[in-house]
Amino acid sequence: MDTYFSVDTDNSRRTGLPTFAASGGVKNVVLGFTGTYDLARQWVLIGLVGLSRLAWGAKDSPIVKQRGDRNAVSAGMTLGYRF
Amino acid sequence: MKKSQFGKYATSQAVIRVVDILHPAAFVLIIGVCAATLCALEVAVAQEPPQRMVRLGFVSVHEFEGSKDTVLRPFLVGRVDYGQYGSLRFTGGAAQYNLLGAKRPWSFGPLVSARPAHDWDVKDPVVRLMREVDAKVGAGLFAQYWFRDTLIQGDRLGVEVETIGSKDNQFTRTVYYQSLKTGAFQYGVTSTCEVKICIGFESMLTSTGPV
Repeated sequence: MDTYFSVDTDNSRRTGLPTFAASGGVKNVVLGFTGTYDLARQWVLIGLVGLSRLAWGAKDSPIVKQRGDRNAVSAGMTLGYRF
Repeated sequence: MKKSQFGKYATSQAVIRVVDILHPAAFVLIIGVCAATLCALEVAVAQEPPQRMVRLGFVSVHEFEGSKDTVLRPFLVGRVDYGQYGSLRFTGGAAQYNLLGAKRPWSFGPLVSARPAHDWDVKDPVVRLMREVDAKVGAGLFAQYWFRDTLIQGDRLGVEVETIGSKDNQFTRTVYYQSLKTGAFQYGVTSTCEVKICIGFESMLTSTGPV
């Protein structure tokens, strides 16, 4: 957690963000949806949507609170080939 | 101290105590022992025939965890089955090798996963000023179980556990990532269309000792 969410004195001096020590534990809760559509015998189209919500120590980090967002949505589309 | 604050403090302390008592390496061992034990108990169940698949596309993701900015990145997914010799699966920056044959509901084996960098090219002008975090490759284990034929025909439910360790030179610690995913509940809408839902959580623990 330290790596991505803590702000030590050096980083605080660089950015003006308050110092913060993130504790280890549950980082986030995720929910994912994947939809698959067979285009042909070997070709498949796959869409994906992921929802993530930072929890516990991570959500209180100033990197998230002041500069970011604890909720994240990712989405994508891939074309697959079976062989 | 307010009651809610005390609750958070007590919970944090409890986690720290667990980490102190159980060295993070123990988590890897525990998962390995659990998976091996359950593998010994499992009965081989026929699964779908071996297949090879490669997928290429794009995914819009947040620049780093907690970021409000999104970036579009190429996304490569692949799977190669070697029958009774296991299967290789790679997804984005992670690769798993299932040591168990395809005709089992269990998957278990090693995995490697790339941890993204957090450096000067992030969009946020304040976060950009922070010390850079280099990209790292972590190694660990995964275990997965698919409940077959327990739901409507064609549907399935699984549980997946991953643990990854990588050294963090910036904080001279070893960081362990755990991921527990339930699902995916897989539902065939039509014969050509399928929807899969996965719910889970991820946690990060840090070893107390130096690298």
